[in-house]
Amino acid sequence: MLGRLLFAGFILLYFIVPLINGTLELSTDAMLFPWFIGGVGSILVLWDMVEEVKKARRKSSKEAKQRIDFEKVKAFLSGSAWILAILPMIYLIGFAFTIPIYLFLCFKFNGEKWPLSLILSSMAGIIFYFVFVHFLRIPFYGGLLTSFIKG
Amino acid sequence: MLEQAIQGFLSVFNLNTLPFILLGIPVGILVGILPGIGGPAAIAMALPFVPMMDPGPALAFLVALHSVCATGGGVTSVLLNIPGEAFSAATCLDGFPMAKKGEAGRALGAVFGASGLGGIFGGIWLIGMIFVIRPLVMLIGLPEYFFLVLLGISLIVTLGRGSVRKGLISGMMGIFTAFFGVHILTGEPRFWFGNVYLLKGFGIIPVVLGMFGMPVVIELFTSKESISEVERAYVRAGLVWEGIKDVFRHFRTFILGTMLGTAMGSIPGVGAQVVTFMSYGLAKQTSKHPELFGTGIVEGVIAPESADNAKEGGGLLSTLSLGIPGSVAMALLLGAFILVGLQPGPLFLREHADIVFELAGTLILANLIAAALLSLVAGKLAILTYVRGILVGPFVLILVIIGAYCQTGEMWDVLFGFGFGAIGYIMSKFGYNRAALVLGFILGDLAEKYFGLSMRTHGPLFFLRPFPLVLLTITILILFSDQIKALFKRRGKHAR
Repeated sequence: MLGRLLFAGFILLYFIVPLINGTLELSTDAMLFPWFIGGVGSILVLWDMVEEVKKARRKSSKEAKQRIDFEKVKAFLSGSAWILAILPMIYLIGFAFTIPIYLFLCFKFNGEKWPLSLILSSMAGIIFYFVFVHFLRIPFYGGLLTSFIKG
Repeated sequence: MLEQAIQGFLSVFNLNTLPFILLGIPVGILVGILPGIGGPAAIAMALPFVPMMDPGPALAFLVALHSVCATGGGVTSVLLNIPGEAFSAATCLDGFPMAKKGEAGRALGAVFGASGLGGIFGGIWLIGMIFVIRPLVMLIGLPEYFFLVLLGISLIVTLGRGSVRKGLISGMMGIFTAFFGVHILTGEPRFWFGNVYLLKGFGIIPVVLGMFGMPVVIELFTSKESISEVERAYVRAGLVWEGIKDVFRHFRTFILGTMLGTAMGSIPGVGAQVVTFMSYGLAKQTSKHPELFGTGIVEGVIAPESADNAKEGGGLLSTLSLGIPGSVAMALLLGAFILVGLQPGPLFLREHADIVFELAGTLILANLIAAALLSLVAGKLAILTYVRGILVGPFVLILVIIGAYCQTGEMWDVLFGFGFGAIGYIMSKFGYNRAALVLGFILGDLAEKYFGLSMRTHGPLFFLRPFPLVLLTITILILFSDQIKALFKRRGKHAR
């Protein structure tokens, strides 16, 4: 219930903060439709929060007996950590190096064998680079460290 | 118009377009076979590449990709009892029992025959209906446009699994997200908080990839097991041809399914899953031996598969002629049109009829090729479902990240893609409607523009005109249909 309420609170802020900011700075013309959508949206979120609290009170005794599945939580946290880890890697070493290194680490640390991890990650690195940089002409972000080394 | 029709239809075979259709078909089949990715996520991942291509080939690629997803989904429904796509679930009911009886090849043949021919029927329906609908949509004015946009969003709201209230909140979040950036009528910079990226407004690609791509990535990273644990059925090639012939043997079931699919597909808001189960139910009700349905009979495969692919022609009709997408995939396709600088809606049929005919031709060609291709390799493709999630997840993640990055070349797009991804994942877990958010975002600017222009030209009571009032009433009836039904039930009980 707490998670649902927190997310509803986030949505409420998503509506209210820009509305307050816009009301102080912008003309009525520019704020008329946002006020309508944001206003109705905020009322609906508040209604939803009240309903969630009511639902939680009805279910509270049942839910108290339910145990948290720590295996699922662990899998989710480890999966999320792997996903988020790619961001600092791209920021530091850029796309060209991140793609093969990240893929290799992902495969290896999740139990794949050396040959498969090496072949898949190096092939993917080459294919991604060839398709995006050479074929589609999309310049890859170089990364902070790479540009520092290049001077 | 006939000239435009011929020109548009022939452009499918143009060397600029044909390779993209041929590329879209295997990608669509692959996505259909791999459970967990799905057509909408595939369209979302392909969207970043759309602005780099010419509008015709780009849209043909997306339509080809999406239209054959269902055919691919049928393969795993039959062989593994796992619907590759949610709307292939009805095929499992008889397809898997057929496979267990040793008739996997025949069931697959029926899938390819029924879905391929059904898709072709949908394309023909689209072509025919353009001639009928074009004069009618020319009567639509500014206030009507505004209410059509609202109607479109409200239809998607009711499509979701969660409550209408949560669907409405999602839709409004989407419209609100479109407000960031410069105001479309006054030119004032709005909600930008001193950040230049926000001044330009959010791009469609980070929002769409975040909402549909990232949750798939999270699921793939979290579930490290392979998708299928079922032993694969053996496919005998000779039986595939028997299955295709079965479609003609049970032609009445096929025709009923395709007609239901095209008709329901043309009505925005009717979910694809509903169409396949409705078609299955209709075939069972009108069958001479309804008791055999569910035990593994070929009519139980033909009925949902024919409706499934036929609905795409109908779905394209409402998306292109009214700008109202009937499904999540059509909402994303609408985003693709906007990305290439085209705005589906009443004017679209007059100004770009050639593109409409080209897409109808794509629908026909893609279904034909997919059915033929799958007849040859279907049994072998099912092996893809034994690949573990951790081997697929990192590739999808990299595609999502590069997709978010490549349109503008800004890392901000990647960061906001991750942000919207987190929101999308939480929304899917808490019963919010991600499709409504995306559609609200895509149509938000338009809604505000038509709202502002209607206020200026017709005054604040612009909705007090016959057609807008009808549209408003329909919107309210759709949104509050559950409450209205409950009210009538209560009154009925009270009267008794």
